[in-house]
Amino acid sequence: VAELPVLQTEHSEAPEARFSPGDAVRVIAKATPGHTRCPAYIRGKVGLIRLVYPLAYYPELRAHSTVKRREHSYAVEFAAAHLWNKGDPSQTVLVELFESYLEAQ
Amino acid sequence: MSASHQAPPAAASEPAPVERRALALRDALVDRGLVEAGEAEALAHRAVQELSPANGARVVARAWVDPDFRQRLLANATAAAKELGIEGIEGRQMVALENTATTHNVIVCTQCSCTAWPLLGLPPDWYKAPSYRARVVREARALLAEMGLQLPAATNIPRLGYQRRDAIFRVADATSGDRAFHGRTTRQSCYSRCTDRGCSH
Repeated sequence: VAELPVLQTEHSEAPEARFSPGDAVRVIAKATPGHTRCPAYIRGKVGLIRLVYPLAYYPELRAHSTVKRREHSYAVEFAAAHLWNKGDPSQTVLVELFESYLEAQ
Repeated sequence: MSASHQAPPAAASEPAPVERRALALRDALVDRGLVEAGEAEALAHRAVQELSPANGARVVARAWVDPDFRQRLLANATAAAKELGIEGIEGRQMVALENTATTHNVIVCTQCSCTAWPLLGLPPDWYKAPSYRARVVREARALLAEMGLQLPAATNIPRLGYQRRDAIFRVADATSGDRAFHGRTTRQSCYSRCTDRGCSH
């Protein structure tokens, strides 16, 4: 098996979601190697929390290490005009993102 | 003996049709005791018969005529679908989004092929195609028009991007969406979250 990076050491699961619906968040700009579920096209972009999901296994750790850690994930809504040149002003993109991908805006 | 004097081996020049090769592989696996007899047939039956978009259509139709069910569906799609006996892998945590007269949802998984199998069936090739995944988050209105769905200019198009996520063109398809749309009836789109199984695919 090829050597795969262990991206993060284990820490305890936070029982409470850090963000609530309506909160503005910015997606971390740094690209994470490996099996990330954070798409490139929203890195560094600002969106609004719409839905909060229950704890689920953080995919990078699950894919590349034996550590299993759960965290909250969210549906975050972005304006297409904020994501793309000449983006449709009537279009938004709702993206499911883990808490580790987000920082408070 | 020179190669030019040898007839080309017939078996190598023309591979057997994929169906015959698949059946031969199945028989070999059964012969060696690696799979049970009938296991492949059961899996094929589930993929074709049970994982059907007709399940999603049934859920949406129920929501049309049962306001209480509609509320439960929007609050917890996984539990509501289970009421109708619809559940399973790639559907352990499903979410329903409702289309309205002014908002149309469409689903995509830009990273893979995630979708709610129990409600929508296995993802079709076009859903997994890089061109669909790249374009629907960028120019949904134009793409939907190419696929035969013209939306009024006033319609908003939220999309559940990335993962699985993203919304609803498929359900519209599965539920005679055009008719529903023109009739301004309530439609739901359902998707299953990538975190269902950590999106390991």
